[in-house]
Amino acid sequence: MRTSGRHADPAVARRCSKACRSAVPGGSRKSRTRLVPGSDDASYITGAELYVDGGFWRSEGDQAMTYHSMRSARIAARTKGRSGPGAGARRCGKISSGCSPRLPFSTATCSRRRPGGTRFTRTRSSILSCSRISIRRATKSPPHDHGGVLGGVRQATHYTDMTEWRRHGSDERPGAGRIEVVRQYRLEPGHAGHL
Amino acid sequence: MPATYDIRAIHNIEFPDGARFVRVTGTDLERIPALKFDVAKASPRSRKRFDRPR
Repeated sequence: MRTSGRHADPAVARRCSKACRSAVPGGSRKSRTRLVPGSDDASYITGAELYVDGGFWRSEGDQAMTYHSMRSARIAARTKGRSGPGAGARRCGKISSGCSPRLPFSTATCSRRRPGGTRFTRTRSSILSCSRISIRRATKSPPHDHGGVLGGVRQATHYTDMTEWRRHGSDERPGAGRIEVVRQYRLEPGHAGHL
Repeated sequence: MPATYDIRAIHNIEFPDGARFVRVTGTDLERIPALKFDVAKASPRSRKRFDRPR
């Protein structure tokens, strides 16, 4: 099922083909991630819960969020500062493994047979959701934020060590403030976290 | 309840070769202003990209 009528136009589809595999006319729909609009239900835009296969999965204590379904998960994504209808609104994206119910998500989309690199799989400005599959060499990022965006990350293979930091002081000027580690944990395959 | 990565929440990640994950965000993170921090200098600075695809 095509999720955007705009991509029915072959010219648009070709232009987007590098960033959006689902836009390739006649292309295989297997091994594809697609995003569809989710509900604005506040219960899973809070960042503390994930809606998974018909029920809410809620983490407890310091345990990382875990779900076992490899096929689908709705992850909250929130933005602000956008103009027009939906400004400041919250949107949710749904990750799906594509059209093959037999293939788990990690196999269909994040298989080791797939080329490395970071790929945009879907961008739809209408629902303000982006999905990015990261397959890269070992990396340790510096502490950073993502501005006014709340998102989610789901581990497919190996692990990712996550560290949360807190900034001291209320001075928001660049160059001001000091940070310290608040929490550290590891995302294993099947774990989901927020960023 | 776990800590939530809300807007402007500061974090960093580390993963080995071959690690694969899916990130879903509300918008393209390349297009929004953000900060990265130098722990040694304890000073944030604006960033564009530190994790370019290779």
